[in-house]
Amino acid sequence: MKKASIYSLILILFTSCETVVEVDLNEGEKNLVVESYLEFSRNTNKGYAHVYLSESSAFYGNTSPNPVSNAVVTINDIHTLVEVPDSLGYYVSQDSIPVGPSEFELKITASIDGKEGEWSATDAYTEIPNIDSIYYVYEPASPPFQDEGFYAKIMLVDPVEVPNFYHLDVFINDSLSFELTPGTKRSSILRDEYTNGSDLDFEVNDEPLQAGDHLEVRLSSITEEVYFYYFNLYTLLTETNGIGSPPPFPLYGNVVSDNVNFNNALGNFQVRSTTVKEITIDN
Amino acid sequence: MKRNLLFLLLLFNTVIFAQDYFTLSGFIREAESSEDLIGANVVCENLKIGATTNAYGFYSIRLPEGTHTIRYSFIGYVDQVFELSVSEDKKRDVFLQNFVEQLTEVVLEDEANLKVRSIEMSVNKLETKAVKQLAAIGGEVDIIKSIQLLPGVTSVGEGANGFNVRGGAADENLVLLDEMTLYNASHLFGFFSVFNADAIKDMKLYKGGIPAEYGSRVSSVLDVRQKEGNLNYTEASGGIGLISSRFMVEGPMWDESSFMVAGRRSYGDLFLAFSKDSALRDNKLYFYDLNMKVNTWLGKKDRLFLSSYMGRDAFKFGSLFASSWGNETINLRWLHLFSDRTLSNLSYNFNDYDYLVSILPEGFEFDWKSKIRNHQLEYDVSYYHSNEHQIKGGLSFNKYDFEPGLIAPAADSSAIVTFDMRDKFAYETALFVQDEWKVSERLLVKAGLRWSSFYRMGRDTILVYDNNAPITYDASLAQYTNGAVVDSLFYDANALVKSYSNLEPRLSMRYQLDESNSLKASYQKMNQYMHLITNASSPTPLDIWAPSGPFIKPLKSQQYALGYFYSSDNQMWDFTSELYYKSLDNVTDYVDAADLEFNNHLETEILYGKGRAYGLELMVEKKLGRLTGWLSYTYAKTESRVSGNGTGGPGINLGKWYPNPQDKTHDLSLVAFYKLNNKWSFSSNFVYATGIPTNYPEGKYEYEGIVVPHYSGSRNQERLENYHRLDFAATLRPRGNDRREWVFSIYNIYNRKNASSLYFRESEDFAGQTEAVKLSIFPIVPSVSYNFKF
Repeated sequence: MKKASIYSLILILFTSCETVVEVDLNEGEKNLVVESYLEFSRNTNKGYAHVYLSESSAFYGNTSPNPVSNAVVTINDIHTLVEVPDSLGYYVSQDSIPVGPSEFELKITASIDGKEGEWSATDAYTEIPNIDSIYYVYEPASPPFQDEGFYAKIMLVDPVEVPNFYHLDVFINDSLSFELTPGTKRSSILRDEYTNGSDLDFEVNDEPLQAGDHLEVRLSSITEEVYFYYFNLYTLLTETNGIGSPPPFPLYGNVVSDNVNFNNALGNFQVRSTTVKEITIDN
Repeated sequence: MKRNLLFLLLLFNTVIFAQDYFTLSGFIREAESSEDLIGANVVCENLKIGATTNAYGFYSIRLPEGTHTIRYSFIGYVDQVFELSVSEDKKRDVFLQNFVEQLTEVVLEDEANLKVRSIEMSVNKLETKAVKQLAAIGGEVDIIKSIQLLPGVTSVGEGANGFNVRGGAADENLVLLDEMTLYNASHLFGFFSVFNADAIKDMKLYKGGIPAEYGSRVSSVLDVRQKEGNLNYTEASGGIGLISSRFMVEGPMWDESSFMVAGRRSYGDLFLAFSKDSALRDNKLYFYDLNMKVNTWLGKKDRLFLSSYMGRDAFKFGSLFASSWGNETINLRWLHLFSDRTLSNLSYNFNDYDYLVSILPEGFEFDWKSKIRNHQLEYDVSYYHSNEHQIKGGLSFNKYDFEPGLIAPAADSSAIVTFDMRDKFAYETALFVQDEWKVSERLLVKAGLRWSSFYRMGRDTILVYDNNAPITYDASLAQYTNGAVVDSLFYDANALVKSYSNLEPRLSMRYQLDESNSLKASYQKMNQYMHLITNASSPTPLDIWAPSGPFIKPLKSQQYALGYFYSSDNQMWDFTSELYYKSLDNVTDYVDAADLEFNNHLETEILYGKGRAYGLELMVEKKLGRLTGWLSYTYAKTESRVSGNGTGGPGINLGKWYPNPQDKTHDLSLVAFYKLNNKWSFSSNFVYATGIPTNYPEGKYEYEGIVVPHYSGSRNQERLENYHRLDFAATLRPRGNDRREWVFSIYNIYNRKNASSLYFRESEDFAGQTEAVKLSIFPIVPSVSYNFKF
């Protein structure tokens, strides 16, 4: 936990009032937003790519983003992704992509506001260790942070040889479980800087599970660059808006603009290897 | 040979000439308690010459043989006037009576046109008596909040830690309590200061014209002195407020010795223990202070002081985490009178600031500790050569130990492995000399020179970067990245890693136009070798201090100031105006999304640049009558330019000047005290200030279903709304004296929702919709406190 988080949490105790206000804002140029994943299953060693392209907008603009359609999206120049007919802006690989190379390159050609641009990004494959087990326990209430109920845990051994960076999605009854800010579901990220080589055994759900609930854990290995993209995303959203906070910043990932029409794209490209475990709470 | 003889002859002549003069010296003290009075005046009225007591209440003045009229005076005390026949050196200790009967409430310390006559400029003093009458949040008397009502002193907000002087960051203030350094002078995250007003005797803030005896910080020195303790009889005082209660007892111990012990504790958490809700019972939030001072005379020429301060904040939030932080300091001081003109001061200080955070999620329980401590030895000698020259010189030696961070598992089952950031060590030394020279009746000059040195020592491992660049710019990603490490150098214990040495000239001048008007000017050059590592606009208690070294450079500043001072003939009004310009080199700022926690290589996050601050400070003060107070106004700018030199990058804000987080263009305070009678007195203050700089997004986008505001990268180009507030306090003394008093106060009387921050987010109620949210801290806050003395 960052100390700014601790400090902010403490300050909240004294916060008396939040008021929604009208502020005149300057509007920047539209840009490409990239959510792109090349995900390999640990079990099958096969990878599939899925990409969602959209546009940034004015802060007080549309409530949902404009998808970017008719783009050309390739991986390593040989795997061309196709746009899903009923889901504009979504591009998926037709066939599985083998693990083979350690680095993968994403290329995008798309039009934003009538101007054509090209973008590219690279990311590396890192192997995910296996989740040794998943189980759940019944825990009493520990107010104000924990309600009484079932909590699922996973066990794995963090590899000691290399720094590891993890991305964790927990789905409860097919819904993401963590909240970043009220109402906002998110994933978790972990790094082994202070746990390198340890036997990890930790809870994965914030809210207690009920009998009959189904829980799915998707643990992925990501690169350090992708880890810090998420880290900075969460920092930007939660720690640059309080009293005496650090200044906010433009958040760019690894998607580079290859011409002068545009800045680098927002979002990022990530290669993941993923392992999945599931459990259902007994009735 | 002839030249040497000539020199000796000249010297001899000087001595012969000096024999016509004799020294009158001693201490000026308060009659009731025999406390030394700092800044009291002794004036030879027939010769129109005078002197002021130093920090130990000592004065020394040279008088020719003959009969003289000597006046001793201090604000709020009855003058004493003597006809004194001088034919030999004389020692006279004077005890001034508190002037309790007057209806006048003089607030800022100022004796008859002292501001006009004194060489000091850019200095603020505020009596604790005045501070206690001001409205305060929860009735909690606060010196640091009160000095923000004076020109040139601000903060970035109500919940901000520390204070800002002439545009400087909070870590650029040297905060001293009886010469002990306080690394964090705030409680409860900046809402209150660590100074218990009952234990404080005197407070002086140097914003410029800083004497050569002070160094280590580039913006200001806040010199706070604790009471020595009543030498005549034992008494106790205290107060009960909504947030804390305090108690102080002082008195004599044996001949010419006294003590003072004071304590304060907040008690919100004590009430939690009575809660039926077990969740609430398990929480903690409190602070406490313990002040102590003893002193004793050892004969007529030696005096020993022992001071200490210990304060701590503690916080526990259920089973998730707990934290505590605080200062522990001690000062041992030996004052020695070599003669009636020569006084020395030898002191040893130990200062410690540490924090502990325990984070307790199951499976990852850990403790996180950090500490800075220093041992300091100081020696200075003041020599009152003549009425024309007062010379002071000294040296100091500081040893710093930095323990930036240790993470250790807090449970057997924890997966956390121990992580120890390397401890760091440094020495800081200084030599100084200064002379206050009365060139003529009109012209007074104080010139000083400080030679400061800093030595960063091993044991440590220092990385060697390609092209000596710890930070480089990746143009394709448009991001700063860590420089390439090509080697590392290990320095053993006591091996020198890096040293810096700098001369710091100081100069102050006063030209008295007449009895009521004077012009003043000052120049100072200062270096700061210690840096609080934070990219926030206001530091947190959990930030760490880092020493200058191979990569982190000393912060350097030069400040020029010009002032005009006026005091009306009847002493009713004072007017001061000052212009200042400050330039800074090696200003640090941090790259976007800087990673500052548990980072052993902070050099990979820091960019260097220049800074400047300039402004105009005006102050009108009404000192006499039932209605007293002041109006202060500051126009100021404080900016940085960080170009990214050596990194290949654009720097911050594309290398253009940008406002610092503490930049406030206009800052106005109106403070009024009204004494109705001996039972009732009132105070009110109104403050108005330009909103602090902030940042607005220029767009938004959605990533993984989360709405993300998008910022352009320019820094501090927008502002929060302007800040204003009105407070009111009434003091009731049922018996007409200060033995019992009730203070009723209302903070933010018209319930202004001042913005402490403004942030941008997705609406909680409407998915995808975005909104700007203003965060306010204190609404209207009424409070009552009760003070007593017996």
